[in-house]
Amino acid sequence: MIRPCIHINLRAFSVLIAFLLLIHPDIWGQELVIKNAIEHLSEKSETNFDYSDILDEFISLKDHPANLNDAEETKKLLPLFLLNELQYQNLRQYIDSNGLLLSPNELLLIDGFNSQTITNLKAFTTTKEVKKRDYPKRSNIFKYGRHQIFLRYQRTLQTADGYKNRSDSVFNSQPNSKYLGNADKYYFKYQFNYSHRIRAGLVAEKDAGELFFENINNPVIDSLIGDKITKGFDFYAANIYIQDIGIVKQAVIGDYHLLFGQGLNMWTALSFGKSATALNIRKYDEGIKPNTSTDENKFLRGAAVKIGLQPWELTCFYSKKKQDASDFLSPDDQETHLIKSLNGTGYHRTVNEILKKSAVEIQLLGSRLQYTHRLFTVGITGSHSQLDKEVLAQPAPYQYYQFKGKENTLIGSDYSFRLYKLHFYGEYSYQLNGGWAYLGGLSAQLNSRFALALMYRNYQKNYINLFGAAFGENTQNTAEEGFYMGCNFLISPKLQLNAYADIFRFSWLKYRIDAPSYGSDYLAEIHYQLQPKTTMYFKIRYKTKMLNHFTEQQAHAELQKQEKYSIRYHISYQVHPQLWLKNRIEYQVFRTLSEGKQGGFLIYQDIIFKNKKETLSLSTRLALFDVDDYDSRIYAYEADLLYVFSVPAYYNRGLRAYGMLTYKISKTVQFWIKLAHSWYENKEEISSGLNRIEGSCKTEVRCQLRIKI
Amino acid sequence: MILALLIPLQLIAIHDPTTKGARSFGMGNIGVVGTGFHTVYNNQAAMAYFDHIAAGIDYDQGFFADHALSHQSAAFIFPTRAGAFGFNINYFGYAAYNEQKAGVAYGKQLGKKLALGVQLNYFRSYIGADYGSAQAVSFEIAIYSMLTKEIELGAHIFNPIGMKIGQNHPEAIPVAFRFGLLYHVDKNLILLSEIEKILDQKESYKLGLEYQISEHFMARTGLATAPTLFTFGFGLYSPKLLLDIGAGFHQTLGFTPRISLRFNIK
Repeated sequence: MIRPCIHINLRAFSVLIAFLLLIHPDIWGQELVIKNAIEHLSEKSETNFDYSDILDEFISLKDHPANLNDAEETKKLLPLFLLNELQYQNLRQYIDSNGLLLSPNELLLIDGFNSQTITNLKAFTTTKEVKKRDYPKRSNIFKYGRHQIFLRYQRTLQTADGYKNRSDSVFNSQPNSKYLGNADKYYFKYQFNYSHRIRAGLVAEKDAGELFFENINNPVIDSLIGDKITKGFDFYAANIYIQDIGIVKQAVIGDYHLLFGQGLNMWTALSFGKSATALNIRKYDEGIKPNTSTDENKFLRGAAVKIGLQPWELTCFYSKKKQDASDFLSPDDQETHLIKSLNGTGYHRTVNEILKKSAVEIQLLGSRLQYTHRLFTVGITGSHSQLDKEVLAQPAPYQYYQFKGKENTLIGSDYSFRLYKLHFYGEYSYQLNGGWAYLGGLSAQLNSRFALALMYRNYQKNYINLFGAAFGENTQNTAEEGFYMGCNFLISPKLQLNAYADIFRFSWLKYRIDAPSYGSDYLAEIHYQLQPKTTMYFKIRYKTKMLNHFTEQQAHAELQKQEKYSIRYHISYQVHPQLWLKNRIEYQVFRTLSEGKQGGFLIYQDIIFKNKKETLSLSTRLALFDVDDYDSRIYAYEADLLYVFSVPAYYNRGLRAYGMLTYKISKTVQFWIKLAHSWYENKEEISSGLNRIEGSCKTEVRCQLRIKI
Repeated sequence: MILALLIPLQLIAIHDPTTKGARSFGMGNIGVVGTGFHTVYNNQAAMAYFDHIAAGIDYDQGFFADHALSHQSAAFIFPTRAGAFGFNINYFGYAAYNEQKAGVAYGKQLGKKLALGVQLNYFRSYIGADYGSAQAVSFEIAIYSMLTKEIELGAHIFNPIGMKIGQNHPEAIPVAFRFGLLYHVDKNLILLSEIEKILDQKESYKLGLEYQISEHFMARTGLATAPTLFTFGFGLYSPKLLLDIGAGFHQTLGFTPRISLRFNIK
């Protein structure tokens, strides 16, 4: 099975907030937006993603604020959700008729801006004269360029089954009964920046359980995987990236992402879908982006360039990358390698996982042409991917339309235009010898207090794209049709409502759903700002889907409805200039006709302290949870080391506490350490398989060092 | 699946107290609030705020692309100093099976903020040659208030005496209650909500909005639960002739359109 999670992509919006929290503790609103989005995504995909790429954007913007007077630079604020489409348009119109902005406060005079937006923008924008971009001098690059090094270490203190010693005889007969490496996780990152125009980076990672420099002193294991083992880190990513140099708008060599249109034809980075910020469903084309995340499968490796000659832009890209897959020898000749699934978790801890490593090579070649007019933008994208081994058709009915064969060609186009106050956008994609997919949306600020977003999507069941990540309920853009409606309503200056409704149907079977099915998803969040630094929200969510249900009389499953609803209250407030408190109460119910009702409850207290100079901060949480079942588990965002994102799922019954300390030793050196401890009242062992831990406690430690030169 | 097919039938059979008109349909099928011509079907009290002599026809295809299962209506409003009078006739079905309904409506303002309305209904069902037809009479009551400049409230009850139709095996005409709230965000934008409870069905929650893009052009969207429905629509208005088109998307049944045409006689 292709695990869908590798195709769920998240978008720039979440990391942003987490980062804001670290640098600007008073930007409450923005922080919330990102946390919401990350929580939502984790809930949907059940995976913790690496949001580093998005965070990089924020950090880069913090160091080199965007000039609001410069249209190109201001555009960068859109994908980070610092500005919306309407604000951007209004700002351009204002500058056209009134001249350059003299101060960010002047934004208050422009329709669609309020003091909250301006506070959020302040850290990332300036108002300067627009300078003509020149070629950077070589001597300046090294003189003013900045270097950063990150070193990180993570480990779970309890020993899981996979790390326990096995006798040689057991190990030889069951080579997968043990992780080959130790339980440490190491991470190294180097980054070079010259303004935002030249960037270079290297990331290396060894996950817990993966081999580092150890030798395998076991001939059986060695014979199985000896040729696949390399010394050092398990994963490396590196790139050099330039931007705005002459007619070259963007160029990259190494590891990168492509983000085009609405993500239907090409979107390799994470992409956010639905979240409590109901309006943010539109994607903003960012073209080429260097990859610095440690998601081991979801990126491109090669080169890409974007050349711009107003009003045309041409992007060409090539990628050749090995990816995890389960391969086997053809039963016919015992020589040809075939692929069962393009499965990639990025872990290479056991013999089996190492055998899957880099088993298939995917080449991708394509280009994009875009035309920008004052009133509209259109783009055409074409791409061809080629695998070195054939992916075999899988027997299960739900897999009938999954990718098979060795190649895939897509061509499509995207558009956006404005009519009155209505902004339309959309994308169409056609797969050669396959199906098509379409997405169309509309966003409109109908009134200064009311904004609306609508979207329709229709993805055919025989449409397959290995590199897409458009809006949808399915993790892959296939066999789905649906309508989304979201709104934001400022009921009073302090009271805000965000709500969405999404109704959808699937035209083909899915895993554990043996018939075409349908579902719906509703969310409403009321946000109340009691004081400038006291905000609270109340959120309800209701979601239904279908799932197989077997009865004794029947050989085949029938579908039954499963319902999930959750209610959350959250408050964050400042009690002292250096002390912030946060509380959350969440109740969730999962219900099916056959199994009845399963409930979950979570309550937590956060205390965050920062010293006056903001060199030292301490963030702590104590959470109590009582959750009946994995189906009613609750997700909650946690503070973590810079570039680490954790949204643990709470289930069973117990307590979780963590403390994180950040200390800026000097301008060049910063240090993070986090200790997290979970205790389960009703469990004598935690997790299962090789990850099983005896006892009812789990303790994790993480630390990180940053050196900035 | 059979169950799913029955739901839309209930949606379009006219003995049911469903909301009518393409304008309402475009806003999540909300009819109990909002003033305009469609009040002659949906809230007779609000008819008191309508100040034209007007006639209109409505066509609702149902979720089947079959004309035989469509629903057709025609209506007429005549405002007087003593209140507004309205007439409507509705037809569903085909030669071998059909349902008809005719109503006489009256709506009157009582002071600035309140209006009351009532409608007398005549129902007729006809099945094949051997079965013949059956008749019944019932009524509906409506109330409407312009609470503030921004807020309007409406309530409507259909068949409060629980009338049935037919002698040997009488079939219930549903009893239904609807309540709604309308909010004027500004002069171009209204938000609407409605709760509809038909006695023997699950309650339905509805939300909708209407936005006036220009003097002659309206855009609408909305959604409803039970059955889950996403709708949108638009209106093209000239002083004499007004056209509304609405479309709905149902999770299992796909798209359906509704069209309303109205003539302002005076």
